[in-house]
Amino acid sequence: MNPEIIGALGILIMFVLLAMKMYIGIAMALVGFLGLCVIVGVDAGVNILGITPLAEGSSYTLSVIPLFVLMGQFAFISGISTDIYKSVYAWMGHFRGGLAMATVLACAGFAAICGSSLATGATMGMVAIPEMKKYNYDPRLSLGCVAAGGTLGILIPPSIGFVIYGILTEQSIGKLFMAGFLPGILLAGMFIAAVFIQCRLNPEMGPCGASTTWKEKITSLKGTWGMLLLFTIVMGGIYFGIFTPTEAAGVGALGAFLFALFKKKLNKESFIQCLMDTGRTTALIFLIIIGANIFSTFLGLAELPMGLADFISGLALPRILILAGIVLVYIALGCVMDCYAIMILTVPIIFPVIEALQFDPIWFGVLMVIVLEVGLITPPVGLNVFVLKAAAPDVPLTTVFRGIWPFLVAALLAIVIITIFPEIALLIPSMM
Amino acid sequence: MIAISNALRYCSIFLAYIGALALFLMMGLTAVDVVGRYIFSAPITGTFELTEFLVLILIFSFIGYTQSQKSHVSVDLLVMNFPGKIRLVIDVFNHVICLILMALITWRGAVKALEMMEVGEASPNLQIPDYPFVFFLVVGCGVMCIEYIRDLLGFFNHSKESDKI
Repeated sequence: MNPEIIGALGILIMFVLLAMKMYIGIAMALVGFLGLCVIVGVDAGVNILGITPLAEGSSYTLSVIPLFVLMGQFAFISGISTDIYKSVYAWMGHFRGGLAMATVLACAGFAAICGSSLATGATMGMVAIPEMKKYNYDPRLSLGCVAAGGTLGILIPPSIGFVIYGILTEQSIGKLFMAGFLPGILLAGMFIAAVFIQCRLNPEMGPCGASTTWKEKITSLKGTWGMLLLFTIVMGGIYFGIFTPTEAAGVGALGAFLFALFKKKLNKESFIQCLMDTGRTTALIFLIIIGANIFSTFLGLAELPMGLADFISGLALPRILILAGIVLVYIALGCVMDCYAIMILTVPIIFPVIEALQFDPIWFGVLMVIVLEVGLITPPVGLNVFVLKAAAPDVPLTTVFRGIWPFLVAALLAIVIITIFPEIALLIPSMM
Repeated sequence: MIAISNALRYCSIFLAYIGALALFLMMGLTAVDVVGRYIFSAPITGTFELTEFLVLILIFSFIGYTQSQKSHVSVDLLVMNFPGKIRLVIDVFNHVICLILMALITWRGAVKALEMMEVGEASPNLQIPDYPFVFFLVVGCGVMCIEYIRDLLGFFNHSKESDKI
């Protein structure tokens, strides 16, 4: 049998295993291992099982992942989200739909110190949903805007999504972070516009909140200093080349830890909880990374990614159509799979295609993260939506999903805009 | 059997606490190194290799715990609609496969660790021998195997104690 057929068979078997609810990391490791045994022999296959877990598990570059997750956890515990929300609320709350707009903005603010969408959605959900309930917001709007706003967590730097993409494709994590900044603002703007239009069409959805005086507006800004300081240190440090991303993550985590201490939000239980949750998230990402590495060693030997890249770039189709096809595949995958898993699973296969089509790798990273965000809020496996379900147990899931579609449209529009104007993503990294 | 299974879960919890400590040390080490380098122009020697050791400890101390918390990622789309009997068969099949693969990884890890002990490989700056950390990987993967066995036992004993701590 020629290796490419073995490779294709391997992919097929892996999808069967995934459909059977096998753990993603194990399924990839297993198929990769068996494939290697077939192509290069049992000895080599068995050897890889000893080498890859050790190599991936003791990588300095990968240590950036737990540190950024930890930073987000400490920020989550510190109650900083309440401060950010209060301050944005004071400025926007009295507009029609203002609380929902404030929620999106506060999500963007929290995303600037937290790299995870789930944490962003969960923390804002707890703060913003009760507030919107008080003002009789339609649950479709209140839950929709938190779910959508939460996805900004992996677009606005720091972002675990960019870290993983950068490691997989050997692109600069710092540049990817910078590239996510303007698209993050664009997307936040689009979400706010989505709220605005909905409230225009149906004023019942988002009544006005309490109005505040100028003095209150100004004093409310005090609550954001922690967020601004952390963001400036971490992103400024990366932008000016003072830190490597790993160092920035370490400093950021320490900063968030000290901030949580300062706010007196850290006790023994919450501290241990932060460490344990971070460890768990890290372990689940690394199991997938280890599996994916064995799997892509196999695919590489089967010469599949290169073959696929040659095949696709040889097609007599405009490259924009191929890109659209790739985006659609990602949205479909996003409906059924965890976003990090999709990224780790597919990037080694898709990236050579993107390079062959001469798309900018940094720009594609941004595009991919936005597409995966869409996956985070689409049924049936919209993780962000399930997290919100915990914050508002009385609202049926179908209501949440119905509230999300205007934001989905906004996100898809953002994808189109960034495809037409790649400069939005590439401007800041080009100045580094 | 159940008593043994419940006692064994402390393996993963105990390891997870070691991992939590490693994580906190990693944060402190990275931050102190940066501050030391820029403010006192005195970076910590060997931060790079120490971080690598700490990441290794962090990951392999948590993979078993993560399994015990059912946090490893799988795609539940098809199977959740199947009748209970078939679901059970699939679950058992999955976990047996996972157990075999993880046992292979544990065995290869041990071979690797013994090899490295023989050769006496050490980290470049601090000359810390590598092999004890590779043995740690073996322990972590071994605990992961134990968790799979506990899951398998759990499928036949619904009285398995909840894993929440």
